[in-house]
Amino acid sequence: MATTHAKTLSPAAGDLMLMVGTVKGAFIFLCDGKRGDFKMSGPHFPGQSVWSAAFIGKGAPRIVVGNKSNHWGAMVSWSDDFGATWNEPTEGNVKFPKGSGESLSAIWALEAETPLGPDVVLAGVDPAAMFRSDDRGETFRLNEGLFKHPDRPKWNPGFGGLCLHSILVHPCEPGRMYAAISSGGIYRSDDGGESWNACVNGLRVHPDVPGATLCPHKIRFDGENPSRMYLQSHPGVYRTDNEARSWVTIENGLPSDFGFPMVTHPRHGGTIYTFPLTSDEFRVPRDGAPRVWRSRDAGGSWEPLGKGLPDRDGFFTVLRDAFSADALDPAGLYFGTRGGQLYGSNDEGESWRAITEFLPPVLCVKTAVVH
Amino acid sequence: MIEVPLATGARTTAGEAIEALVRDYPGIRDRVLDEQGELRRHVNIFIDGNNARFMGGLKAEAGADSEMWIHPALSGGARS
Repeated sequence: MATTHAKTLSPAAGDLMLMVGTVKGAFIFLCDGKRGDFKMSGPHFPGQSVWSAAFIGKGAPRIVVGNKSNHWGAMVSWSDDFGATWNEPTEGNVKFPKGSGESLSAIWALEAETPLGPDVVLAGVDPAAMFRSDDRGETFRLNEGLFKHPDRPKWNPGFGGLCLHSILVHPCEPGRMYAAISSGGIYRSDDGGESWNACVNGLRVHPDVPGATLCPHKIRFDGENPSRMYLQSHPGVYRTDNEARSWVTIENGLPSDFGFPMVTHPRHGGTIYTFPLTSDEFRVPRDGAPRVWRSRDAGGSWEPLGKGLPDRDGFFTVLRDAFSADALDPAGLYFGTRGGQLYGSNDEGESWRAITEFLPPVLCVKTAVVH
Repeated sequence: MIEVPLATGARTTAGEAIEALVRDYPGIRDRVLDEQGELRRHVNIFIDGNNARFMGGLKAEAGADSEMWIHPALSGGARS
């Protein structure tokens, strides 16, 4: 299997696309449904960091990305031809209100194809806030309810900033949605985003830091039951079975309670994946042997998956948005590293291969099956 | 590099000059300024060779014959 470069990509229905954001641009990978050889294009937005990406497959296909120039600021850009050309908004399209005192740093999350509608794109940003687009990512407006939440003064930026990194919209009740903020907590809205309540019962804060706030790293819905969610936190790995009213720890059996991503199987309830790191203080795989850890019983037990991954001298980190599953059967899994490797598995994590090894540090990996 | 002559009157400020530029280049405001109207951290404006950041920022004055340069700053470091 090989990965070859292509100036432009022309997907067919059923093809798999990986949208990979790095600190120096975005790369798009394409293969057919058999997931053999990939073609890659990029870098798109050379020199800019690309923190988030999403695919709108209904209607005319569109890729949206959250790109950031360290000089000229951050924005949502879009391509209607799979990256052959890009549209950057003339004026910034994700902006805090004048007089609010806040200015956009980066767009950490983009969610499209949610139950809110085919034209809706949600954005999670640093400093922590949510924005909504009703025109397929071209213009956005601030979610005032979360922005004015009384907890806001207690939120504190982590190493990565004060980021709203996870947005989940309930698949059957679109008025119910969740947002996770580092460091801030997990919030749920039952009225379409008008009001938000903290959902942190059972979570623990860092025991050694007085005044520390909750720092969820990634939340995901269960593949079958949206009342159930999973959380990789800082520290801890958790599950909720009651729509985030309370959380229980599921880290027993893992080599560490620290990591960034949380991935769930697209169909099999209870099957989840993490990428544990040694500790908060030493953010690399234990003993230099990177492993994906899988549970098939909702966190009751865990098994390491490492066939094809380095057995030694593998000291890379996988960030929270750099690990995703595809929707094919069997499910494919993909993660990018801060060392620039992109690994993939066609067999639900049983074995892994390097799709490419020399990218800039990877910030996000998103998948889409072209309709 | 794009050179743009601006008819801004005898004296103008850096901020007023940017607004004059916006008429022909509407995208420039949000690239140079953030949404609170502040000069972005890694963008510098020079007026006749002097850094406007030390001359009052966007209120720095320019004369009728002044040259104003908008530069991406030379910056970087471990996170780049």
